[in-house]
Amino acid sequence: MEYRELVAQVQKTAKLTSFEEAEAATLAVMRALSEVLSQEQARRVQACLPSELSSFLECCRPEPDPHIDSQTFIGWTLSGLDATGPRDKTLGGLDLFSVDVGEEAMRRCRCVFCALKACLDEALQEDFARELPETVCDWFRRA
Amino acid sequence: MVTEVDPRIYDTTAEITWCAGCGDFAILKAVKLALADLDIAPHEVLIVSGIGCGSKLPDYINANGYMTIHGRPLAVATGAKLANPDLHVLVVDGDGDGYGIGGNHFIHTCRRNPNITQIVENNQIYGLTKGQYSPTSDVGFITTTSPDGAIEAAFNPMAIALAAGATFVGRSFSGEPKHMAELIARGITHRGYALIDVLQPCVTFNRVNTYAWYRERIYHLEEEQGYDSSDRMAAWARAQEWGERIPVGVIYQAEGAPTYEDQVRALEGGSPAGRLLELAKMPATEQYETLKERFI
Repeated sequence: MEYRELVAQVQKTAKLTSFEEAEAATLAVMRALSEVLSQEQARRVQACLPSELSSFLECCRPEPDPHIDSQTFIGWTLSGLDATGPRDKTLGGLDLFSVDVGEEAMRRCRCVFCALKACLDEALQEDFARELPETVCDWFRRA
Repeated sequence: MVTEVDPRIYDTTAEITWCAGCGDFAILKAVKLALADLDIAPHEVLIVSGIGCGSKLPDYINANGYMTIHGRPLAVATGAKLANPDLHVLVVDGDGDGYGIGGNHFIHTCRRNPNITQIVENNQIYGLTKGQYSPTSDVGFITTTSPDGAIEAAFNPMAIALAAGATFVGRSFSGEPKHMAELIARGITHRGYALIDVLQPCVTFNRVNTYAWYRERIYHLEEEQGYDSSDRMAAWARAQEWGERIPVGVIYQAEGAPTYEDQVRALEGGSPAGRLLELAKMPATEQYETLKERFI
C-alpha cells in the first residue's frame, strides 16, 4: 500500500476532517510502536510498510522495555498528536477540551492499526500483535 | 524481574482517574515492581502523598497510605519513620507539592537524612488544577498563569538536593518503566533519604515536555564511561544539565552517612510503635504500673 493511500484510509476510518490530522495520527502511532517492537520484529514489519512509515522503526532496540503498558503506549502516541482537533496553538494547554485527548488518541490508534493490518500478512500480524502491550494487542487484533 | 512477592498483590479495585496516557500510570507500576522486587509485603510499607494528580497514588496501591495536606508529606513521613523505623516509608508527590508548596520540607529532609524515599512526579505543571506553571516549568513556558511565558528560572531539584546534603539523588523517566523500577528499588535500599525525580509528561496540559521531547534529550548515566556517582563534584556538574542533554540514573549516592533515626536517642530503646505493642500485650495492672513509673 502506498503512503498516501494508507493515510487516506486512516482519515476515512477515523472520520477525520483533514489528511494532515490522519497523517499526524499515523506517525504518532508509528513513534509509539518504535518503543515496544523489538529490532528483529521491526525489520520484518518495515519490509511491508511504505518507506515514509518504516523509517520510524529504525530506532527500535533489541530488547524494548517489557513494562510499557497501554497507558504508556498512549502517552508515547500523544507526543505527536493533538487529538482535540486543530493544533493547540497555546502550547501550554489552555484548551480545556484537551482533557479528552487520551480517549480520542485511543480511538485514532485503533484506526491506524486497521490500516497497518492491511499491509501485513496474517502470520506477521500475529507476531506483531504478540509484541504489543496487552491492551494494545487487543486493539490491534480487533481493528 | 523474578520476584517472590507478586506485584499484583499491590493492586486495588479503586478506579484510576488519571488521564489516559498520563505518566503517573508508569510510576504506579514501577513502585509496585520495585516493592515486589525487594520482597516487601504491603503491610511493611507506608506511602505518603500530598495533593495533586500524582498524590492520588496511595489510593491505587494496596499498602498503608496517608494523603496529607498540600506540601506536607515529607514531614508526615519523617514522623511515621520515627514512630516505626521498621516500616519502609515512601513519599510520592508532584513537583508542585514537593518542590513548591513543600519546598522548605524538601530542603530540610535532604539535610536530616531520614531513611525514606521520595518519588517526585515531575511534569513541570500543575495538572490537577488544569494547567498552571509550576516550580520546574522552564522559562518562557506558556500556561494559564503565565500567558507571556514563565519569567522565573526553573527550580533545579537535583542541584538543590545535592547542595542541601541529600545522600541519594536520582532521576528517571516515566517512558522507561523498567529503568524507573530499578532506580526506585535502589532508592529504597539506600540507607538515608533518597530523592527520585521522575520526568513525567502531562499529556493533557503540558504539550511541550512530551514523551518524545524527553526521548530526544535523556541519556543514561549508567552508560557513561567513568562516571562515578560517589563523586560529589561530578554529580554537581551533571545536576546542572538540562535542555539539550538530561541525565537519568543515579546522579549521586553517598553511603555510610548516619540516618536521622540513628541519631535520635529516644529510639535507642526500640521503636515507639514496637514499645506500644509490647505495652498492649501486658496485663492491665502491670501496664498501669509501668505507665505510672514512666510518667509520674
